[in-house]
Amino acid sequence: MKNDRRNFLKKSSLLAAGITMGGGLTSSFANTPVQRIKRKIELSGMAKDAGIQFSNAYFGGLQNSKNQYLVELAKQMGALGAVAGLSPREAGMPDANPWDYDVITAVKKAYKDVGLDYHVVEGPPSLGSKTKLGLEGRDEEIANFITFMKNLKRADIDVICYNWMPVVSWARTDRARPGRGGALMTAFDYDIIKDEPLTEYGDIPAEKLWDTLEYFLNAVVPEAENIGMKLALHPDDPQVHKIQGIPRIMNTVENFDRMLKIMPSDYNGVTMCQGNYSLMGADIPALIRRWGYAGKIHFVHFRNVEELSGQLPSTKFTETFHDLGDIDMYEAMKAYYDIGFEGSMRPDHVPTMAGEENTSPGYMALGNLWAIGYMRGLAESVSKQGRNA
Amino acid sequence: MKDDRRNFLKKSALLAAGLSVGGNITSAFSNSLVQSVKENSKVNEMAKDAGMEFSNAYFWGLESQEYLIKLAKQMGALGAVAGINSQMAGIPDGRPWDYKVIAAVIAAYKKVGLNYNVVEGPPSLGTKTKLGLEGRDEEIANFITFMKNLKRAGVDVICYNWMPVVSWARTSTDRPGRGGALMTAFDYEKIKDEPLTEYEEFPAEKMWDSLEYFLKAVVPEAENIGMKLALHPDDPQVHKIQGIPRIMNTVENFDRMLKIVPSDYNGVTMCQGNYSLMGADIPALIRRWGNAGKIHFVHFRNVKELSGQLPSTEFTETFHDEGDIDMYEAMKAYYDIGFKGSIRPDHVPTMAGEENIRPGYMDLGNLFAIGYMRGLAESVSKNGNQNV
Repeated sequence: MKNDRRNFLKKSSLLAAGITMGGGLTSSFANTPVQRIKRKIELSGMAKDAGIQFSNAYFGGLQNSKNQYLVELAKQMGALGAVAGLSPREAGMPDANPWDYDVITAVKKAYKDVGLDYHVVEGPPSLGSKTKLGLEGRDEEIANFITFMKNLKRADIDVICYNWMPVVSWARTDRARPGRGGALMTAFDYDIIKDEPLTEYGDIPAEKLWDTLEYFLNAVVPEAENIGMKLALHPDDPQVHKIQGIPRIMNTVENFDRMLKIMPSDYNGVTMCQGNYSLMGADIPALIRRWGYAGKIHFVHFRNVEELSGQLPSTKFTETFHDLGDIDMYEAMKAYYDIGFEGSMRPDHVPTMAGEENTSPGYMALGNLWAIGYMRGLAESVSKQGRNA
Repeated sequence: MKDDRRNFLKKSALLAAGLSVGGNITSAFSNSLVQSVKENSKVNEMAKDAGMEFSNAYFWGLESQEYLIKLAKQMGALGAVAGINSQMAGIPDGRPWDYKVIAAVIAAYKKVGLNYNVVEGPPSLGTKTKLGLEGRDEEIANFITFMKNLKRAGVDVICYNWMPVVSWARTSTDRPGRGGALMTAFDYEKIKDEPLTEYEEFPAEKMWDSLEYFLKAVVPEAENIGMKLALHPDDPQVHKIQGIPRIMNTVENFDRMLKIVPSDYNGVTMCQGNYSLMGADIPALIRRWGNAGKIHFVHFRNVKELSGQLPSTEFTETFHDEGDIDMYEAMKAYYDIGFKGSIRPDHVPTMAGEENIRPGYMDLGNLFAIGYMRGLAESVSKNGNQNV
């Protein structure tokens, strides 16, 4: 049944390829947003989940028992996309390099064998502090990254979600903040960590990270273009200006616009992590449309947050259930539909619910069951409403 | 309240529209942006569940279903639907229609944070009334007492059915569905040769007589006090099981029933699955009965017809998002008719990690269903307001 829908999609895209539209679109894809939009309208509600691939994250791999449970639930929810990192150990090849083709195909097959479709790498293994801080050894890292991209694409994985946070990565100061009905949320308060000591790298100027980012993009984006690999830069989480002396530059919408101009390309894109951009002060549905019509959104983290600091970018916030929070999730889903987004979308951080041990804050299973149900209701509604437009 | 909500939403939509066309949002607008983000939350709150009360069923009691209560509060679905019995009230000598029993049950739900809003399965209505047997007058008198005490205690909907002796029936309670989740299903072939009950072959017209007798006795009383009666269709909607006829099994029969004693208080439970399996276009039926004010309670479930005939003699229940009914159009219809009552997911699949001890009523399927319903309800109410 899925193949029929895909064939339908292919036929529609060939049909739509002959259609041009003037004015304002900066994407040069053969598969342009206009074509995707027309295709969506034609399918009008037939496309499951508005043509978007609902996914879950399986960080830590399929041997992890929490992930195994999530796999079972995901198949019952009918959300078959998989997003994860990639490690040689997972592939059963502990001595291999993570960018080796055999490692990649082994991991992809492991997901296929449990009924999931793995096609977004989140957290590429071959991109680290050397590249992000511009240290010796970065050229080798970058070369490995390019090899990684090529092998991924050969294995039919075409999106990489990466970030520009060296040394200090995703941070929360509270992983068990009680929310609705006593469910546990992840939260952040900059005041709690602002006096943490500097790392071994001292106090680094922000301009350094801009230099290293430019160096990286100049090296990899042309290669990504050659093979059709979509890079999807994820914002800094949290989006504060600095933690422990390490600057955070991907923390405002202006900075993202600056990054996109460094190497303008359909393959130099972003992860639309709703929570982060909302906490930067962005109107999420509007931002989805602006970047989306320009073809820059390659991956979506469909989560919600509540800003608590009264300033932007937010220095204090809590994550929430998807249907609570500051973001208008209905308008956001509508925007994804309107821009013709057909990629992978995952619920991202969810509350830990009754009956669960909070062993992976933000990533326990039942919150995903809730979130995907909610997303399905929104997606079905926007695509059927689109039918009448 | 609906008009106020509509105005508030309009204002916020205009505000949001102004921001949407802006494009590049700079920090010069930071205060008003934080402000509008807060207003958005308020908008989200007011549109919550399109004005309906999302509920779950607690037929097995507050202790047995303690886990569902916890999940329900985390989902923000605080409505509770259940029967009433003296044991639940902790008053074993009491009669279920006594005011103190009813009040004690409602208080017990309130204590755990739920709002008891519909009695499903009134205790004082049984085979005597439904088959027209001796003793029915006493049953009916108790039912009237029950209605009055229930309304005094703050509950104004009773979901009842006209299935004596043989009630809800399924022939499979573990039919594998999506991802191996277990569905409830029915195939008339499997039970058509079951023996007659002690009542032998009972004539359908006798059940119409007893229904008329009941409605004529209780509807005027219901009108006096404002108690909404919500008759639930026969499930399954076949014509007869073990000699006991099923008369509330076609839309035409429901229309006939509604005319026996026409009243705003003589209404129906919109059990989507049943009416769909009778061949009804659910969104259209919701509008027809809803605009006439007849829908007092909703079972928002989905089904897949398998027999090729109507009323269906073979079907399976499904996840809410994958059956025959257009659930989006259904939710839109409830919003359009202004339905503000209790709505529950009804039968759900049993999911991974659960023991199938209450087929159709395990917990995780409700978590998924309410999430889906919330997405639909939010979408129809926000879209409805944009078009105003």
